[in-house]
Amino acid sequence: MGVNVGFEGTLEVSTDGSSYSAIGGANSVSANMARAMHEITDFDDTAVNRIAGLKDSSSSVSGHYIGDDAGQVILKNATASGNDVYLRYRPDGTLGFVLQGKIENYNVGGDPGSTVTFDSSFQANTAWTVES
Amino acid sequence: MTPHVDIAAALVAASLGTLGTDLFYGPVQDSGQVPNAVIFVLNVGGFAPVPDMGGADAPDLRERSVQVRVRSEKAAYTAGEAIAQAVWEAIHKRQPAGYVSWEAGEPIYIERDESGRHHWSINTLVRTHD
Repeated sequence: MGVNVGFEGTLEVSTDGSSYSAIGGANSVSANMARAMHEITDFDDTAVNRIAGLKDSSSSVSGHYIGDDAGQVILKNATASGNDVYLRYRPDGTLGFVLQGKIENYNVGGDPGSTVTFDSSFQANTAWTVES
Repeated sequence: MTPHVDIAAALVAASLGTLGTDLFYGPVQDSGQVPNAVIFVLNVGGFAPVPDMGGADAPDLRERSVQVRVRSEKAAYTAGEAIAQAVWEAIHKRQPAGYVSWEAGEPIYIERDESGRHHWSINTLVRTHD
């Protein structure tokens, strides 16, 4: 497997975790898979010790606004409803990461001399998974 | 998408020229077949496309440039300028089917050539998402 280039990646969103829609117009994404760290260092330890805590994730996406794009409609609706969505980001277009959570915001803007753009951010509501 | 062809078609629709008679594709040319008062429509490149995510077949936002050159009759500056302005009005802020937008800069006066004909350029940014 070689180095992947950005346009190979697919970014999709789903309301049920089984039927996904591509987020059309998206040209930038950041998916952050994290785990909390808890320090358990004792007085007699010679270095800091930690244990792994709970999984967490966040994501942001931006691109060109397409009002009737199925993926962008899901993002907008989820922002309004507060319901969970599933984000699936596959950097190589085949396998990647699945995040479940809520859309924190969906922002649209532009000026008369350029295209309208959107950006949206996401916060986890359950553990992220790695596709294999 | 063939922006120069579609822009030329818009100029024909605006009664600013007849293709092959006083409206041509490509760079400025001089020959017995080409009148003095004439319009040329030329693709002149553009910016690197901005790909959507989704693989090699996903759309790109493309921004291409088309130059429309207006040439007047000898010593017909005012008439030529009016045509250049009419060209701008015919193409600026248009959204023909298949295009995101056309945005034209104001007509730029280029030169008075060796034959005394005046030249203007209308540089147009053509956006597509395909």
